[in-house]
Amino acid sequence: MNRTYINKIRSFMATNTVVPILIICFLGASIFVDTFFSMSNVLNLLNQNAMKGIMAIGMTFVIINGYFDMSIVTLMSLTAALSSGLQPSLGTGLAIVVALLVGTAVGAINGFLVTKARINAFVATLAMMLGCRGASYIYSGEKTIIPKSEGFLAFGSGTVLGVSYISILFILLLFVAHFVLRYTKHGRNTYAVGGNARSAFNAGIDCDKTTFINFVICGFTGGLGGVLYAAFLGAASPSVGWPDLHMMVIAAVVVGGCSLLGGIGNVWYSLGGVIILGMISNVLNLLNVQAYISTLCTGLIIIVVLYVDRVMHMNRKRKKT
Amino acid sequence: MKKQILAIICASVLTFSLTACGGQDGSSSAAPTGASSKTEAPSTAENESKSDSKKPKIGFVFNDVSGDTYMTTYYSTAQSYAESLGIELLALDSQNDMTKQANQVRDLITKKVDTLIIWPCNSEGGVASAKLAKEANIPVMTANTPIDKSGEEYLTCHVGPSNVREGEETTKQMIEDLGGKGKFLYIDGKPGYSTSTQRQEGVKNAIEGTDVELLESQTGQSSRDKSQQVMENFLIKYPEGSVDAVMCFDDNEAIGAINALKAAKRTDVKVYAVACGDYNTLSYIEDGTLAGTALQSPITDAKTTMDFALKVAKGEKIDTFENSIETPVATPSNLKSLNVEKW
Repeated sequence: MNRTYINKIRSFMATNTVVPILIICFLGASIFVDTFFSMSNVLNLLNQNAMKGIMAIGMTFVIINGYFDMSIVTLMSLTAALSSGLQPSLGTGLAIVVALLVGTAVGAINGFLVTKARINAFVATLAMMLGCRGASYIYSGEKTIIPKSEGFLAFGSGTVLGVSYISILFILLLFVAHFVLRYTKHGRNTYAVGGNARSAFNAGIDCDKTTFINFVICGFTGGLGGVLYAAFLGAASPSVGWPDLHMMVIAAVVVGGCSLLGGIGNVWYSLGGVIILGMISNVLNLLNVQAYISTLCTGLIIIVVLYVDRVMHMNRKRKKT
Repeated sequence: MKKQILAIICASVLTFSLTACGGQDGSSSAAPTGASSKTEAPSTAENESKSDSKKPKIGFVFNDVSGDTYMTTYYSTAQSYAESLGIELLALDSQNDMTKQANQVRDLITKKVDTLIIWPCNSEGGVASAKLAKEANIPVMTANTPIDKSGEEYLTCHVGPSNVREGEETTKQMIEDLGGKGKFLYIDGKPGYSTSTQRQEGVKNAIEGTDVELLESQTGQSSRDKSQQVMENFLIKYPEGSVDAVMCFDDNEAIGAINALKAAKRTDVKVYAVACGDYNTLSYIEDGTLAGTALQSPITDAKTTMDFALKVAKGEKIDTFENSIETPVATPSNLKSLNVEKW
């Protein structure tokens, strides 16, 4: 009885390698870094990374589908600027809606470029990234825009028992995304298309439609991320997140254990990845590592984490979640 | 099973590599145990530290350390100077990314620093961070670049170069050189940029009530090329004898203006730059092509900021909110006597 229990845990750990890696990192950081292990810092970790996490949710859909989206970093700065800059003329609610619609539209264009125009996803979304960057600089006139609405700012900085509203939204979205991936037709199609597009097509799945929807989801979360960042930072500058936020989001999803080739992964993996990367930067900051070394360390640690993940995977049969 | 052991070894290497980074740092600036901090305390420059055997812990978020020479020098000076003052400095680089800066401020708050210094990535974005630290009962000050007026209520003080004062002092030097009477042109920085408006304000303050007249002001967009074009047009419009000097927003623009003068072979116009933050520009003062500029040294900037931060960390009262650093006006005649430290 006891043994089967241990075996169960072991097989769970071997399948979901992000869990033991997260535990190791967390224990290591708690032991060696004072002030890491405190309630306030753990909550700080969650609150800092909630926006990135929300974008990682959208990215998870696209990555399971076998693609990735480079455009969210500048899409985010564009929607941050729009949601702040339109507040005086349209009102806060409408400004947010417009920003989210822009995010969704950009996602739809990405989806169109990839599925209908048959442009490689890397190049198409890279072009979109540049386009959005230009648009956000043009819209904001190179200036930082301050959101005027009190409620908007209060939402960005407000907390319940130390957990920010944005984190709560993040957790809710995690459950929604989990439900969609696990229990809806679209979710199952996403795994099928990402796993093997040809057999999915032969099985009668509309691959293009699935991919298109996933890009739209990713665009939406990118737009939402921008709105939330504007509220969180209390300001929207066109350079926000530039130059590497999209790469960190993709890295988080991959560190979590989603396969870049598609077909494998879930949002909980991405949550783990976001927390691991957040923890690395948090620990490096707490340790006061010299600026240039800190960037170098982040790169090295990501490689080590991925290697550990690879080694732990070797025992495990390649199996779809 | 072997593979799993290997994985665990890798993981421990990872955690140890983390602590190794921290360890290096600890030996240089931080003292992790109480005993060693006691032994280091007497070596600090301040004698007042008898009562508090603990080193003051100061957090500093930088805008972009690798951005230019000024910031790089500032960063290294702040670190070495903090060490000599016996400060434990936690210096983080935001790499010009607001989102990183916001996270770093939060990390420093959890680290419970005694004072937090923010060099904001941008003035508006710094407000939320300052507010957050203030709410956590950590005194906050801004360095070099001030944050938006709406955030000043959260700050203890600001230390940095005063653009208005630089404008005033360089212009006074120019008035003196012109013998109290003359005509000059102004090449402005980027329009709408707070530094531009403040420097121009200083220039206007200084000429008020004097016989020195501002003929025309145009923007050089803070760029060398643009400023050169503006100056070329000025030189056509104002022939020899009709103008005595040109004042530029910064040394970069001044070099543009100097290039235009050289090309037109005109020597009747003196060139001034309101302020200069680049050590290489000093060679232009040496050979006399640049008649005067307020020297804004990153070394002075960093040291003054750390002095103030130490005061704030000790709970001393800071009398004034705006604390400007020394920016002496350098001219070809006094450059040697200023003994400018190279950066």
